[in-house]
Amino acid sequence: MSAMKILVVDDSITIRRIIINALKTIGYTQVAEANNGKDGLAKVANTAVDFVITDWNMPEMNGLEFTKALRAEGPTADLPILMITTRGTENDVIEALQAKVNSYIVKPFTPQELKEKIDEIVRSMEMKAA
Amino acid sequence: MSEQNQLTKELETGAVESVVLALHKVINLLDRIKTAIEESSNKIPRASVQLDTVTQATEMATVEILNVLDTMTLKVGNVEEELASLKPHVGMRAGETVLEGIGQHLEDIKQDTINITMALQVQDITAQRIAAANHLIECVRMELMHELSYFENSGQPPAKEGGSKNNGEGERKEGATFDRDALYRKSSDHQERIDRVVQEWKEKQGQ
Repeated sequence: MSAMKILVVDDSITIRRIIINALKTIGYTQVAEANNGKDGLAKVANTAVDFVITDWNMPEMNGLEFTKALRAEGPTADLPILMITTRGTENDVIEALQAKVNSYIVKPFTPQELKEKIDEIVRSMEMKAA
Repeated sequence: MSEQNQLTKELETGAVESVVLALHKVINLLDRIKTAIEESSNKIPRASVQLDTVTQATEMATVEILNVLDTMTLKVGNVEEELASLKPHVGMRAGETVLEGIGQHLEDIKQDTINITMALQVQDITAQRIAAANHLIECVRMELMHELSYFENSGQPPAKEGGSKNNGEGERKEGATFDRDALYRKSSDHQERIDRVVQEWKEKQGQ
């Protein structure tokens, strides 16, 4: 079990549940949820979050705007962000990378893919910090 | 009045009658078009509501299935614990083999529940497609309303509402809450392609 607290931001209740179940399967039980970027920003401000998983298409504030907002703030500028979305063109991926997401998964995903991406991001953050 | 004048007058009267008749037909046709547009644009909101209902129903059903799967996972966990507590009391080799067999079946059931959970992502993907279809329907309604107001303003073109002219690309703009290209893919090829794009981009950035 990992003590890392993960914030899951998605406007779909079913996808939030599915991501949270997949996270439990791979050993992450500390999870918070938000239903759009605006809500996500409030959660990040009020809760100690170690890792963010966000969708792209959401009302009020989408995942790209949310990522940019997190990157603009000092304390959250280096927060690991994994985008999980249905948008799967090369341009979409580049746009998300330009907004500085750490990695990108296209739906539908498997728990194994989720684990690989989280491990990869955590490893890279640890290397950066060392 | 000369015979020629009389003939000319009769011809003119005939022409005017033909024009009036033609105008009547055009007016009738325009009336029918106007009625058809009115009826069509009145039906569209009903179609949108029906599509929304489909999304809500599938979302509710998916949440119910997720609840059942959570309960199943919990029960499997309980049986696994009970099985583990039973193991020290089962001394015979045959008994241990049976317990191991049961343990393997429970592991398989857990994997099946994970597979079902992951397959339920299809609900979100279809919901996005339905939202995209709803958006297109709304665009058609706006166009019909625009044409209707053209009739009602006696042929004066009304000012277009902002963004009413839509080429179907609007869904890809920022702020859209759906992806009209959302697809349920079973193979990992697409993710592998995305991983390559990410890798190449990071290499270019020197990350």
